[in-house]
Amino acid sequence: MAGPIHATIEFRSVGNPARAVWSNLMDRRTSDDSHLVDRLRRGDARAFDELVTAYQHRVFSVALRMLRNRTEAEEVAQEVFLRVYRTVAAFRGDAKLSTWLYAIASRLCLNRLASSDRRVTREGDETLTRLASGDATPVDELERSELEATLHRAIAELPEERRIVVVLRDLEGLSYEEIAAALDLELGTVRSRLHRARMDLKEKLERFLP
Amino acid sequence: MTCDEARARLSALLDEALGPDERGPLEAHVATCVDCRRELGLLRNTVALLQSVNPVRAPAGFADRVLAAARPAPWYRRLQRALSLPWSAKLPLAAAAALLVGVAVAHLLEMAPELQRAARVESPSPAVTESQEPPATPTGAPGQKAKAESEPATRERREGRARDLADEATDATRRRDLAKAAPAPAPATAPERKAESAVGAAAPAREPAREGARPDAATSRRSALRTAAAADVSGRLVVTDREAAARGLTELVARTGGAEVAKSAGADAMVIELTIPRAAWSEFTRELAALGAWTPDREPAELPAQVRVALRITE
Repeated sequence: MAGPIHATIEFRSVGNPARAVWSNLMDRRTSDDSHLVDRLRRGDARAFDELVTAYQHRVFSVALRMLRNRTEAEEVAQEVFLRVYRTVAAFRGDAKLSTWLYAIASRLCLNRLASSDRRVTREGDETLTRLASGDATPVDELERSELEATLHRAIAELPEERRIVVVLRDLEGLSYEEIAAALDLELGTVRSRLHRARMDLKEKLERFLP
Repeated sequence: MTCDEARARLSALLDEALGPDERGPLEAHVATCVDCRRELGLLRNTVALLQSVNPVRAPAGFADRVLAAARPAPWYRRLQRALSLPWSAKLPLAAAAALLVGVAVAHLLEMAPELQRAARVESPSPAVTESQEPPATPTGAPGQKAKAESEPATRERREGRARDLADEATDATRRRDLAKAAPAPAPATAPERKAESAVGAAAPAREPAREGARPDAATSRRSALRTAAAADVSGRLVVTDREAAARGLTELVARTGGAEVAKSAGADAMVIELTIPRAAWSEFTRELAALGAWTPDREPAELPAQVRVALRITE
C-alpha cells in the first residue's frame, strides 16, 4: 500500500500540524497557569471560566480515548472540572495545573472502567472512527480514515493501565515525569508500560508501517 | 548490551528519556544490530502514527454546561440560556413562527370583509335583526289569520283597516310616515316602544305564536290600528277635549264593569282598546255618546260575551 506508507513518512518528518499548533497554544496557556491557580484559589469567578475554556478539549480528549463513548466522556470531563472547582483551594501547587487536571481525569476514567457495570458495555469504537480529519482529499481521506480507524481500535484494545500511559504520552504530549506524577507511578513503571503499549500498537499497525 | 535489553529501552530512546549512561551503550548496540535498528524504525513510525491522530475537541456547549453545573446561574440567566437556542433549533422555530403569523394574517384578512358585511347589515336596519326575536309583538284578536299571511299582505290589510278607522287628515299623515319609514326604518322612539310593549304585555296570550317582522317606525300607531282591527266593534269618537274624553271613558269602563286593555296616543288621535261585558253594552254606547260624537265603523248584530272595542278618539 503505497499511500499509507507515503503518509507515514510524511507524518514522521513534519508531525501533525494541527497538534503542533494546539500544543503551542496549550504551552502558552500553561505558562499562565500559576497566575490562574492563584485567581482560582481566591475564588475569582472568571478564572474558572478561563480554566474550563483552556482545558476542556484536553480533558475531554483523555476521557473519550479511555471510555470510547462521548456521553460518558462528557460526564467524566464535567466531573473533572467540578472537582477542580470544589477542591482548588486545597491544590498544593507543587504540580502543574495541567498535570493535576490530567491526574483527576485519569483517575476518574480508570475508576469508571473498573466499575463492574461499565465492563459490560464495549460500544463506542464508531464514535472514535468518526473523529477522522476532514481536510484531506477524498482518496487521502479514505486511506486516512482507514488508518485512523485502525489506530483508534488499536488504542482501544490496549489494557487500561497501558492505554492511559500511551494516551498521556503520545496523544497528549506529557513528559514521563508528568505522567508519573499524574498517575502516581514510578518513572520506570511509566517507561515500561509505555514501551509495552507501543510494542502492542506496532504489531497492530504493522500494515501501515514501512 | 543484549538485544532484549536494548529493545526494552528503544521507546525511551525515541522520547529522549534516557540518561547518558543508558543512551550511549544503546546507541552503540543499535548501530551494529540490524534487527534492533529495524525495530527502532518500526517503533518510531508507530509513535509518529499515534501522534498524527487529530486532537479531539470537546462538544459544543460543553464549557457552558460545566460552568452552569459549577455555579447554578440566577434564574434570569438560566432562562436566557434556555431561550438562546442554537441556530439549528432557532431557524425551524423562526420559520414555524413566521408561518403561523402568515396563516393568522391570511385568516384575519379572510374574515374582515365578512365582518364588514355583517356590520353593514346590522347597524342601519334594526328591523331585520328584530325579526329574529320571539313574538313580543302586540297583536290582534283571536282568530285572526295573520300567521299565514306574509308581512306585506298583513301590512296592506292593516293599512286598509286603519284607513277606515282614521280620519282623512290623520290617515294622510300616517301614510306619509309610513312612506318615510319604509326605505330606511328608524328605531322606534322610547315612548312609542313603551306603549307597544304595554300592549304586548296586556295581551300576550291572544296570539302567542304570531310571527312576522316587528314593527318599525310606525310601530306604535300600527299596533294600535292592529288592535282596532282585531276588535269586535270599532269606531270613531270625535270629542272636544281628548284628554277629558279619555278620562271620562276610563270612568265609563269602570262603571260598566269593563276593562281598558290598551291605550296609545299619537299626535292627532288616541286609540283605546277596551273590553265591555255584553250586558253593559247598551249602557256603554249610551254613555259614550255623551263623551263625544260616536260613529261606529263596525258593529255586528251578534256580540260576544266580552265585547272588544277599539276607539279612535280625535278632536
